[in-house]
Amino acid sequence: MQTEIEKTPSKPSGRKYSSVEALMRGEGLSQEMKAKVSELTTETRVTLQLAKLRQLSEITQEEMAKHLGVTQSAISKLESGRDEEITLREIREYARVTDQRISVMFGKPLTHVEAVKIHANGLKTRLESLAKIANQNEDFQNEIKGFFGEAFFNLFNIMANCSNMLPPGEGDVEIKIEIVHAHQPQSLPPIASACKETGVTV
Amino acid sequence: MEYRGGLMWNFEPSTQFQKDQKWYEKKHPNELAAVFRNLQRYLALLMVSKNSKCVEAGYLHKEPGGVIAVDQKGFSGNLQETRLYTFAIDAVKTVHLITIGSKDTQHSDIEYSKNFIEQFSKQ
Repeated sequence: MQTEIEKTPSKPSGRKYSSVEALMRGEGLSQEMKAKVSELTTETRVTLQLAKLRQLSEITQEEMAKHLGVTQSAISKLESGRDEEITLREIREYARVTDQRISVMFGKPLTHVEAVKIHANGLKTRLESLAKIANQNEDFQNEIKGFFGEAFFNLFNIMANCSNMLPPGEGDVEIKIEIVHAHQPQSLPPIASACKETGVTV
Repeated sequence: MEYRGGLMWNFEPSTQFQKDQKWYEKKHPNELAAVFRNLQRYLALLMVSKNSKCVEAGYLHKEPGGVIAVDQKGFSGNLQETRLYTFAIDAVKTVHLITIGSKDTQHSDIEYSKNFIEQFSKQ
């Protein structure tokens, strides 16, 4: 391939971009080019996540290769390649070596509403399990009650903050949360205790 | 996954790169797309790395003078060897995009990139 373009003295353009997408948009590249790059990026989402996980864990490709019993070039190829070429075993091994959790989901992405419902259901299940443990084991009761109070406050805070981001309308109620007490009496039941601690006002 | 440092990395194209990408878009769009995909991956790895020198990937080549070349590898298909020459500055979290070239122009492109960095460093 012969580069026909002449190289002339150059300098930074002064334009900054936070992504390739922004670069292509800002520099006026065609829709076809954007679509091509997007298609290529879609094919390599999982392998990129594996490379990021390794990099974040400060593990070199050489070290990862030793853990997996392969060569460094095999790791390099895996991380640069397409998702369809990797195996579940390799994903599992990356999770093990980096001591991180990896979830893989196939099928169409969740909508925002579906995701919120799934998370809410997951929260309910986990909290019920914790309540069961608290009832069965006195040693964990205070700790679990404290966690319930903390979780209640955090979840309510998230809901309040997100609700306040909605466009204003007639009859809306402003939601405000303040901490009025750092500590609460031990005798209060868990939820009442959490309300007392957070001083929730709606 | 957490990002390190709190600041996002940016690209800054050079005036030569701006000409190169237009030329490559017309003459070698598949090669340019593949290089851009790898550039995006390079950026993603920079975000989770302590510094730019820690980043390791098969499509990155450490050249003399601190130049990092991003190639087109990672795809099946018959793409021609193409390299995008860059220079990362950790202090301002910026990757300078210097020029694009083929395997044939590799030597002169590296020299060109080194000169760019020298000129840039003097300013």
